Amino acid sequence: MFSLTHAPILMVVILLTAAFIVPLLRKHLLVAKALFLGAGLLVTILSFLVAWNVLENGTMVYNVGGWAAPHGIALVVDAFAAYVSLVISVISLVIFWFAVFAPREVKHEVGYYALILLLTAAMHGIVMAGDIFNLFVFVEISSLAAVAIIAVKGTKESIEASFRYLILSALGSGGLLFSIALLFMVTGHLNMDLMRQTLEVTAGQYPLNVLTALAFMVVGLGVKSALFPLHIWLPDAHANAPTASSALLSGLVVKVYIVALMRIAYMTLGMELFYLLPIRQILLVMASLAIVAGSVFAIVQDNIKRLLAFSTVAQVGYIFLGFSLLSARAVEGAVWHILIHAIMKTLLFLAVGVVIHQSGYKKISQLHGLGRRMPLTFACITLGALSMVGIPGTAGFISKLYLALGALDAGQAIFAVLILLSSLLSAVYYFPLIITAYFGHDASPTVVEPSLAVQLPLVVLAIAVLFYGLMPSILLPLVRQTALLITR
Amino acid sequence: MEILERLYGNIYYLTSVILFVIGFHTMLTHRNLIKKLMALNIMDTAIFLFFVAIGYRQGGQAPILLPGVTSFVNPVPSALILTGIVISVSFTAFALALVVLLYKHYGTLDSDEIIAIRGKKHV
Repeated sequence: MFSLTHAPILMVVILLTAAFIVPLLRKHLLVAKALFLGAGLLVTILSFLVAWNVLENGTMVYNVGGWAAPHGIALVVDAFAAYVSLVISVISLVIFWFAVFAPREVKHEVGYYALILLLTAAMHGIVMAGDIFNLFVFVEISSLAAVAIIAVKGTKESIEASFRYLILSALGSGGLLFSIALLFMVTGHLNMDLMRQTLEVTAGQYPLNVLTALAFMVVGLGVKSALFPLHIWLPDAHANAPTASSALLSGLVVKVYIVALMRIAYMTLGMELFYLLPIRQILLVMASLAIVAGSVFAIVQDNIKRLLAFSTVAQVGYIFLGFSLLSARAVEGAVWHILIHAIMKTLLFLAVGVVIHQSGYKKISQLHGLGRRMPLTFACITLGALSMVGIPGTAGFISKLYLALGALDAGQAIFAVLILLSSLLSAVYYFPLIITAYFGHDASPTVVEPSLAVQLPLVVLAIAVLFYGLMPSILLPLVRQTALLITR
Repeated sequence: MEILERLYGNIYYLTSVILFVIGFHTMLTHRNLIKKLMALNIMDTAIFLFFVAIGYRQGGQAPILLPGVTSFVNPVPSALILTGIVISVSFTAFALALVVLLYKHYGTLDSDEIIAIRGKKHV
């Protein structure tokens, strides 16, 4: 049995290396595609092994280059990191497959693959970073790559959207770096674990520094994860990106920044500080506003991709809500929602991308009768939409149930009501999509289903939606351990 | 008088805060995209100055062990900010590339005009 010691760094290195090799293979497109998929598959296998190892033997700490903590850079793979990087690798593998087999949307295919690989590598890096400056560097790589995979589409709208995303993202990075500077001032360490130990002593002496750092950090990462009043870049960016990019951005990228915030919260600041400062109440209010406002904006959208993008704003609110309620089951719900929303939103964005490509229709009002022309694709969309609403038997029900129970545990029943209300709202904006597709006169008899290779990712994700809806127990140990890390 | 002395003692932090506010103000009030990018860079520079100032010590030497040298500058922030500068350069380069494309598509660098052109198409 080979050792898994180097597996965490290998996950990042494999993807990064592939990202630099793939663009060189412009003349050998088939090899490039094979390498792209191969890297994704290898990393998925590694992340399964790492997750299994973390469950069996506890947290893995990897010292890059063999230099231990105060001098070197550490990668810390605890249950949270293992779980999220499992989600990232599996979902991104499905998206890799789609990007390879779906019809071309971008000019330079190999360059696009390279950017996706870079983004995925950075996301793995963010969730595993044990050094706060290392985390910042990975955040920057992922921000740049995320903007680039929108701009590659090359249309007027996508370039405008990506420019706005870039500026706000750069502002967010500035906030993050400033907060790191303030924390470094107080602690003199960059290793997150050592920072926490020092902060336990010094936080009381320099309350202003810690408070300002926390404010800049929440705003900086809040911009990147589209927490409600800071979400303005998201709808345009996600709606105007190529299909695979939309899925990647909505399904994974926004959530990785929430994970970064939570990891800094429990690894660096310590949850005691979170309890003491008013930051929880602020996050709760922002999350609730996100849930309501995201849903209300989504109702008035006719463009399908914009609808999905606004729905992401609401779903980000759910995750923040769970993390800031801080009861055991609410945190479990938020952790579940990271996976389940990734599955549902990826499914919906990919399926809608397929529909838009096959029919040329971008609006809900144009979809009349398309459900009969593309039965399998619309079956997947229906399943995804039902799961978004939270119908029992689908995955979406599980996370909403945990969140609602968690709200009751925390003694704040108002948030359970809010979750119910927003389920109702999501029914209001998802059902017209399904109803228009299946009923009404058949307006486009020439539209056909895409090839089986394109449909495979949709079917896999649809099965996953059902699977986690009916048998959520498979990942439960990992989710439990993650929640314990945060609430302990 | 005392407050002036305290301000002078923290002159680097003070300067970085002033730079940050200048950058932020320019960013919010100017409509030209290039100026917005410049403002962004000023803000980044302010943060870099702040970070480097943490490690600075009046009269400190480079941290090389030599006989007779007792006061050192902390080299870690400077090393980190090298990375920060590289990141900021790549952000700026990428943003400028996008500005070129925006100008090609919209024929203007005024953010309000771009929004107006886009808005017309939406309606």
